Amino acid sequence: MKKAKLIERKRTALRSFLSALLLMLLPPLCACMHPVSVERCGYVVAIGVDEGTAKEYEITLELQRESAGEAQDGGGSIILSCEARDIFEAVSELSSNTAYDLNFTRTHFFIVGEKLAKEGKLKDIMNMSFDVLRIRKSALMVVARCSVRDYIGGIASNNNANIAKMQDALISNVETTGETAAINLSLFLEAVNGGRLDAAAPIGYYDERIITDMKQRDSAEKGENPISDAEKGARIGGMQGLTRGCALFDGERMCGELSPAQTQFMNLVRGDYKRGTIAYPLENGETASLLVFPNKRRIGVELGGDAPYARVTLGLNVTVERDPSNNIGKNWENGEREKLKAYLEEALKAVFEECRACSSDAMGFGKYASMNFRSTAEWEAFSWKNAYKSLYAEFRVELNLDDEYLVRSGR
Amino acid sequence: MNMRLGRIGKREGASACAIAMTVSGIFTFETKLLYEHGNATYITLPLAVLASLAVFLLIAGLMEKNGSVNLGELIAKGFGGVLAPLAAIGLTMLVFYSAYAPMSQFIRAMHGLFFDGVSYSRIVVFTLPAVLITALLGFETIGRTAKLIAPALFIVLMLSIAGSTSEFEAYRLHPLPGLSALQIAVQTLEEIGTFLPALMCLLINADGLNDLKTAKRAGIEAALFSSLICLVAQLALGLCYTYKELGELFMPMFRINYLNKFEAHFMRMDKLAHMIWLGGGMIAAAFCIHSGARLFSQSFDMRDIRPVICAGAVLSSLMIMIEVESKMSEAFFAVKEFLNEYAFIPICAVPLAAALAASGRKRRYA
Repeated sequence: MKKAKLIERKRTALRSFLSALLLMLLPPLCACMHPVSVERCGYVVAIGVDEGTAKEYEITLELQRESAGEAQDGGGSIILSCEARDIFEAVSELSSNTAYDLNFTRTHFFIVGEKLAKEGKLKDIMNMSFDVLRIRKSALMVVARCSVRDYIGGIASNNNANIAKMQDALISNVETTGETAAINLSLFLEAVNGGRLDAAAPIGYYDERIITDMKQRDSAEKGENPISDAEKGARIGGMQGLTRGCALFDGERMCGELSPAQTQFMNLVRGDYKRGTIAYPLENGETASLLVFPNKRRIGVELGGDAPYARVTLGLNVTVERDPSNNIGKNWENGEREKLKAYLEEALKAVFEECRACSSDAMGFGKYASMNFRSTAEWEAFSWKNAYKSLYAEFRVELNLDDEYLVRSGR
Repeated sequence: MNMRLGRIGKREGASACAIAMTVSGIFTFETKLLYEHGNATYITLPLAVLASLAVFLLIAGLMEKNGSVNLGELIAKGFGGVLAPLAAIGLTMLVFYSAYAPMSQFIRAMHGLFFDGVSYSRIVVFTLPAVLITALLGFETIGRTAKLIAPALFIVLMLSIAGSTSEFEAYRLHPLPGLSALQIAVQTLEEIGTFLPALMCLLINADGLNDLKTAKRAGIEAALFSSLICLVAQLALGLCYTYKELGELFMPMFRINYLNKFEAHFMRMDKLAHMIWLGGGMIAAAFCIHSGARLFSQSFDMRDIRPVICAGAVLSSLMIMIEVESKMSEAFFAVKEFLNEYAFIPICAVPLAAALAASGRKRRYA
C-alpha cells in the first residue's frame, strides 16, 4: 500500500515537472515555424530624421556591424540613408538594397534635425507606431544643430561597436556636468501629450576638426602623426559628434535653447544634476570653480491667487575647487555665502525666465501644479500651459560649505 | 469516472488561484477603458479582489451550511434538475471566458512585440497544446505546477518593477485619486467579474482540495496575496506612466522595462519576463478550462471530463482567432466590452441564488 502511494506521488511530481517544462518551453518555439536567423538582422542603433529635398524627410539609419572575424576587425557601424515620406517608406526602400532585415529593437538614439523640431513636425514623425517597428521608447532623443547625417556620421566616426555605452555616457554626463539634457522618447511623448512639463533635449553638433581615436590608430599604423598635423586649438580624441546645451520645447515645437551653463541650472531644478562643477564669476573678472552637490530640492506650486506662484528651495553643498581670489572660503561667513547665494538665485531665475519667455515649462512646474487637483476632470479643465505664462517663481538656495577646514583655517 | 481531480492541499490551490487572479489583474484589462477617466486602479483592483473574496466567503459559508461539497452540487441542489444545467452552462462559459481573456492578451503581445512576422494562428498552435495537455493532466497537476512556477512569476514581476524604479515619479499619480467615489465604486464592481471566476474555480474543485475549509483558506490566501500584488504592480505602473499614456498602451507591464534610460542591465528582460508570465497565463487558462469542464460535466452527469476540456480549450482558442483575425472582431469587441462591464452580475448572482435556494429547500425539508 505504502509502495503504491510512493509510486503515485512520484508520478504526480513527474507530471507536474513535465507540465511546467511544457509551459515554459513550448511558447518560445512559436517562431520556429517562421525562423529568422540573427545574422539576417541589421540592428538599427540610431534613427535620424531630417528635412528632405525631393521628399519630405531624409531618414538616416545607423546599423550595428556585427564582428565577423577577429575582435579587432569587428564592431563599428554602417550608415544607410534615403529620402522618404515617412519612416516606413524609408525602411522599405533601404531594405530593398540591403542583404538583411532591418531590426529596431536595439535603437538607442532618435535624432531629429533642428529645422524639423522648430517647425513642430515631431508629432507628425512620431505619430508612426513605435510598436510596429518595435522601437524602444527608452531611446534617447537628440536635436541636431548640424545635418542629421553629419551628426550620425560624427558619432559613428569613432567606430563604436556598442552604442549603448554612448547612451549611458550621455546620461552620466547630465548627472556629472549638467551641461546637457537627456530625454527619452517615452518622456518626450509624455511631455507632448500630458501637458505637465515640456521637453528639453540635448543639442547635437558635428566638429569635423576632431581627430578621432580611430584616425589616431589608423594613422599610427601607417607611421603618420596626425596629432602634430592637427590645427592649433582643434580637439583631439573622442567622437566628431558632440552634445552640448539643450533645446527647449513648447509641446512638440522647439522654441528656444539654453547654453551649457544655463542647462546646469535647469538640471539643478529638475533634479537631474547629481554632482558637478559650476563656474562662479568673481568681481575681479576671473572665474572660480565650485563643486556643488545638491542635498535638498523642494518645489511647490500654488494656484490660489491671481497668478500661479512657485517656490523652489535648493540645498547645495559647495566645495571650492579653484578660487583665484582666495577669498570664498576665507570670508564664507563674512558675506561670501550671501554673495554666492544671490548669484545662484539670480541665475536660476534668469534661466526660468528664459524658459517662460518661450512658453517652455522645461523645469517641470506643471508636475507640481497637477498635485493641487483631486480629479482628472478638474485638471483637464484647467489649462496649465496658459497659466504657466503668468507663473511667478521664487528661488531660494541654501548653501553649506563642504570643506569646512577652509573656513576654520582662514585660508 | 475520469474527472481528473486528484487531491491537492491549500498551498497548491492557493497558488493556482493566485496566479489566475494576478494574471487577470495585471494583464487582462483593456487599458483604454480602464484608464479612461484617470488612474485609480491601485485602489479599485485590490478593492475588487477583496470584494470578490467577500462574495466567495459568503457562498462558501452557505455551501457549508447546506452540506454541498462543491459548486456543481450546490447548483444542482439549489436549482433542481431543469434549471441547474442551464445555470451551469452560463457559469461554464464565464469561466472559459476567464481562460480566454489573459491568453488573448498574451498572444496579441507575442504577435505584436516579439515574433516578427509570425501569424496569430502559428502562435496559437504552440500555446494551445501546452494549455490543453496541462488541463488534461488534471486538477492535481495544475495545482502542483502552479506551486512550482508561482515563485518564478513573483520574482520576475518584482525584478521588472525594481528595474524601472529609476523612472518612478510621484507626480504621475496625480491628480489623486483621480476618480470620484462613485466612479471608484462602479469600477470596483466591474472588476469583480475578472477576479471572482478564479475563486469560483476553487469552489468548483473544493472536493479536490480535501474539503470546503481548505478551499476557503486557499481562497483567502490567494485573494490577499493577489490584492497586494495588484496594488504594487498598479502603483508601479502609475509611477511610470500618466493615465493618458496608460490608456494608450497595450499591456503596460511589458513596457515598464522599455523605460529605463540606463537600459543595458535589463535590455532583454522584457522578453524573458513575457515568456515566464505567459507560463502563468497558460496555467491560469488550464485552471479555468479544467474547472469549467468539471462544472459542465458534473451538471450533465458526464463520467469523463476530457472531451469537455478539449472543447473548452478549442473554444478559447477559437475566441482568440475570432478576435484577432476574423471580420467579426468588431462585434466580438462589443461583446467583450459588455462582459468586462457586466460579467460580475451573473458570476455573483448565480452561485448566490443557488446557495440561497439550496438553504431555503433544506429548511423546508428539515
